[in-house]
Amino acid sequence: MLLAMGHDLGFRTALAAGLGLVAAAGNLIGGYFVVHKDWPRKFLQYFLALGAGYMLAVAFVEVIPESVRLSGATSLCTCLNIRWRRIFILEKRPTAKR
Amino acid sequence: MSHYHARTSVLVGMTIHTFFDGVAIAAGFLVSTWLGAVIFFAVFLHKLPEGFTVASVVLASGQGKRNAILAAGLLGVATVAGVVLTSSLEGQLKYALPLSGGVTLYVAATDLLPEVNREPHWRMALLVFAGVVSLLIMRYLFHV
Repeated sequence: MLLAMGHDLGFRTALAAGLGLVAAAGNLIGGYFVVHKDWPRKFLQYFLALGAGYMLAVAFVEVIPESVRLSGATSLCTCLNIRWRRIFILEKRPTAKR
Repeated sequence: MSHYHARTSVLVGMTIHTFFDGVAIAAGFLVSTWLGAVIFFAVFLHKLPEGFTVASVVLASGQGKRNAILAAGLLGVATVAGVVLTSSLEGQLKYALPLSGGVTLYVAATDLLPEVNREPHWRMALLVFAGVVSLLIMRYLFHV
């Protein structure tokens, strides 16, 4: 299986760059559909719901255990603290003033 | 808040957010192909709605279609910048991976779920569970 095979770092870096571009294209496609108004908005809600469940599972089943394995319990502080405090302030403060 | 300030704060917030999407993808691939692939799918599933949201906000603030597309493109550029920066900082993986865990958790719990909960239909709840189950199925099928 492709995903189960061990690959060298160069291959994985190239794959990350390629899929990063695919992800970036996803943003552009989303913007394109708004401008051309032929996209049923209901489907976006479905994407969000599927994405929410999948992302929670990825965080709890894959990323957090791997982080703890890699750098110990301090990684949990990084996971929970930095994101929830700093980015929460950055992203939510402007709307809180309304 | 004026349309200008609303647009700027949404654009800045989402650009930071998408930068960390890129960090998460690259950090995953630095660990293994499997982890990179599952994180990529997690990121990709909310990429269309991200572009959709930012382009809608730009249009609503009175800007033209060209600027709406450019704003969506800016999010894409931030994602690629996150991938490139993290790939070049391989030694910092022990920070990048927990950070991407925080990003994933934060985006799912505080951005996506409240949006999903606005829709009261049972189908939405079922899709959230389908998202969880799809990762478990992928693990069963592909992760040795």
